Amino acid sequence: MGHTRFDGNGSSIKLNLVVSSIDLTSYTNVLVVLDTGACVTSIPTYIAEALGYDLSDDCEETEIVTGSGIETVKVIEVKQLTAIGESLNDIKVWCCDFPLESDVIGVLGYNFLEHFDINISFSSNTIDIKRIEKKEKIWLP
Amino acid sequence: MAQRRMSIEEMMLKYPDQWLFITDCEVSENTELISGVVLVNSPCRDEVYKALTNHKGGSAIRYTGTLPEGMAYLL
Repeated sequence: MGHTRFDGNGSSIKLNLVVSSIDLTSYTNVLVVLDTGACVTSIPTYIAEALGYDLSDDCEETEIVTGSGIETVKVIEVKQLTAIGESLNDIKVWCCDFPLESDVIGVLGYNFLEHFDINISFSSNTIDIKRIEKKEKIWLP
Repeated sequence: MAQRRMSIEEMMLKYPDQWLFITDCEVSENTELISGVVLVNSPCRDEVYKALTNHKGGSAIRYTGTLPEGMAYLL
């Protein structure tokens, strides 16, 4: 179970995301936006490199559709991601650099959120998450 | 001189519109940053990113400003 509060005066939900280094000896806590529309969680390329992840030419890449076009990003597997008091190991992360004007530097995306039942309360500005033990897959056309 | 531990609220007041590299972080069980020691402060984001490169252990990166007026997110 995890619980956190968010700023009710803002126009987005900003959360703390803790990203581990590849050898699990270091971590850094960054501010990201909760984005259920993003397939995968993202962090800046510089932070990924500083934490020891390999973003060389051999690194996997993927194309992503954004509001302003299609971009190519590096894909890494982060050893541990923690948000709202819950951690996931060996999780895919995209490396994207937000514009300098942005006060957040990444997103907490679907591939993290899908492991939890999530209750977002806009009346109390809180988020509660509970890890899913067994997931039922329902297909909707 | 040893840097002083500050709450995140104190950091926002002392370093307006700055990027901060924070060490010795106190974090709640729900991953919220409570306090820490500001090692680097700069209006330049890259300066703070560079500080992470040689750091071992826990750290945090924060911007104390907000989006410029008239700007919003579409992610």
